[in-house]
Amino acid sequence: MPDKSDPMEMVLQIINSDEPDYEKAQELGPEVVAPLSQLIQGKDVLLAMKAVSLASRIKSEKVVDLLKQAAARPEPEIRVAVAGALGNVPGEQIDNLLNQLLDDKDFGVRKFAIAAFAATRIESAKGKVQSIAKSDPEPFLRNVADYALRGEEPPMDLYLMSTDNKADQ
Amino acid sequence: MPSTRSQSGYLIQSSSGTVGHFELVVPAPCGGLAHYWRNNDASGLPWSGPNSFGSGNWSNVALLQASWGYLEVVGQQGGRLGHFWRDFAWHGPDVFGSGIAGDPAFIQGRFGTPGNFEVVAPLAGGGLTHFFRDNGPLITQPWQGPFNFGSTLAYQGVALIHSRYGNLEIIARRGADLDFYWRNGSRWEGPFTIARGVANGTPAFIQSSFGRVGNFEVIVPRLGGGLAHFWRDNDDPRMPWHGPFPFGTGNISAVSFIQSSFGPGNLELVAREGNRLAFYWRTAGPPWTWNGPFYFAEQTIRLHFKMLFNPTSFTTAQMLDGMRQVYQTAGVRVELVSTEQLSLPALVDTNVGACDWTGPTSQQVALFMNRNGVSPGDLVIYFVRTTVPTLNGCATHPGGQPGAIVTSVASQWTLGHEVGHVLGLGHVGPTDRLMMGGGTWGITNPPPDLDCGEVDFIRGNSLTR
Repeated sequence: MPDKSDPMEMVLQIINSDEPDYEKAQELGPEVVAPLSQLIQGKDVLLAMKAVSLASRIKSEKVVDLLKQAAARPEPEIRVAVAGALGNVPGEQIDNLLNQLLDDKDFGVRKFAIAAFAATRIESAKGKVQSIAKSDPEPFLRNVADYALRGEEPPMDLYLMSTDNKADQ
Repeated sequence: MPSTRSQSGYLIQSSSGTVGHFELVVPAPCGGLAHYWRNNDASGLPWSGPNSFGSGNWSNVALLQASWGYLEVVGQQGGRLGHFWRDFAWHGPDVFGSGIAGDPAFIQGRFGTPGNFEVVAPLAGGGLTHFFRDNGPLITQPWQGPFNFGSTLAYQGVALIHSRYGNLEIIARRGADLDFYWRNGSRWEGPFTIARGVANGTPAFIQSSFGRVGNFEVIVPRLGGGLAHFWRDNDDPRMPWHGPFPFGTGNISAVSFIQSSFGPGNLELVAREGNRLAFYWRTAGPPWTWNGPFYFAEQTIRLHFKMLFNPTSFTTAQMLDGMRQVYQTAGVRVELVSTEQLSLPALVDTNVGACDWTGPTSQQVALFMNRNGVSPGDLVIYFVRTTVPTLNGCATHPGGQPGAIVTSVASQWTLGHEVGHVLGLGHVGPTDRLMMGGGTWGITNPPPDLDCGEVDFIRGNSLTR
């Protein structure tokens, strides 16, 4: 049994699962910031990604700092996790981070950053989204940015667009 | 049709049908016994079953068709012997003996009229014991015995025949060695060790029609995998044993074989590999090569891989191998039917939401639209780079489109774990189980297990067929 007084054990108990129940993060607070930071900066990419998904849901003022640490990682999978987690954080705290991720070179990061803009409507990011809608090399991202600016859900068949430009393999 | 009742084993050729069905009784994965039969009159020689009977954990059993037509079974459970019989339904067990440890042998010999039942079994304290039942004039006589022999040597399994010499003859496994005994009047002669360092399971023993007198043929699960065949040349006055002649594959725990009515007397064999049943056969002439294994009484689950992103921790081949290792213990064969590359960059990272009973997200629905002609009863596995939020995999799928997502950072067991969810299995606590909720990266004592309830659940799902 994990030691309930050990914050790292509490974190690992949740994120080691194949399908973590991130809703359990609502029971966690500042006590898990240190272990989450350790995992986000650690060598295990999977644990770093899951730590990001968990970190975005805890009750702490340090959430954005954790996400910024993760956004600095070179592995695009971790940055995708950050972009995907932005929607869980109050909008006023993430404008810089959102703007940074809208400029990311990775397709998936930009896709989820646009989705975060659509969810948060952060005004400072609107220019970047307009730029993507106008000139991103990826047709899918141009389209999905356009829908985000109009406040509309992209149609499902938009996700079925094929292109030669793939995520970093 | 040659009678198989004077040789022990769990495979026989009965008098059912015109040619004579093959009949088989083995312990069922979740307790009790399972009866299978092969219709040798039907094209394709289909196996049917299981017809289940009994309860609890049984050893390997011995099956025969008595001279009055009933199927009769003797097995060991909890140190005691149990006798079942079938007229139109299975009856029993009639319990007898005590202190038994291992797989018993059971025949209807030629002593008495219509032929006594003879049982030999290993004893927990060492040595062997013999029981018999006088079947005339009533077939409800009590079992007589025990009559112990074989000193204090520790045996794990035994095979018995009533030979054409008129003797009871035994092959018994003692660790990796095989000992031979024969009964001379009322006195058992032996042990005579015929092989050392080769056996890894319960042996089988027949007297074939090969040679003028009829050779003795012994097959035993072999240390290191597969099977080993020995034979004794009964035409040679020195009666030398030859072998081992290895064949087959897999980690086999027990074997049973017969000389059937096919051809000039083919050898036909069923080996137990975990809960899998493997059939082999060999013609009664050169080149004497064994054909098989042919796995039967298995169910199949059919997978199609759709590749959006290649896994980075394990290859799809390693994941498939891991899943096969686990599912074969449930008697379920995992077939990879197709692999297709999908160029869907917008779904390489897929939003899966809560990945629970609330249902698929619009991105999952879009992803699962790419079945591309896959049959409704087949599962499609979509390999993506990541999910948002981060999961190893997700089994939530649109109705009527069974399948799952597996991410690039999944463990070797995630594929089997997610398919388990698709088949209706939930999370469990123990760390040596496929469905452990604590994460398949942390599985201990691999390959992980399925418990009996999970096996029943998987085999009962319409997606396994």
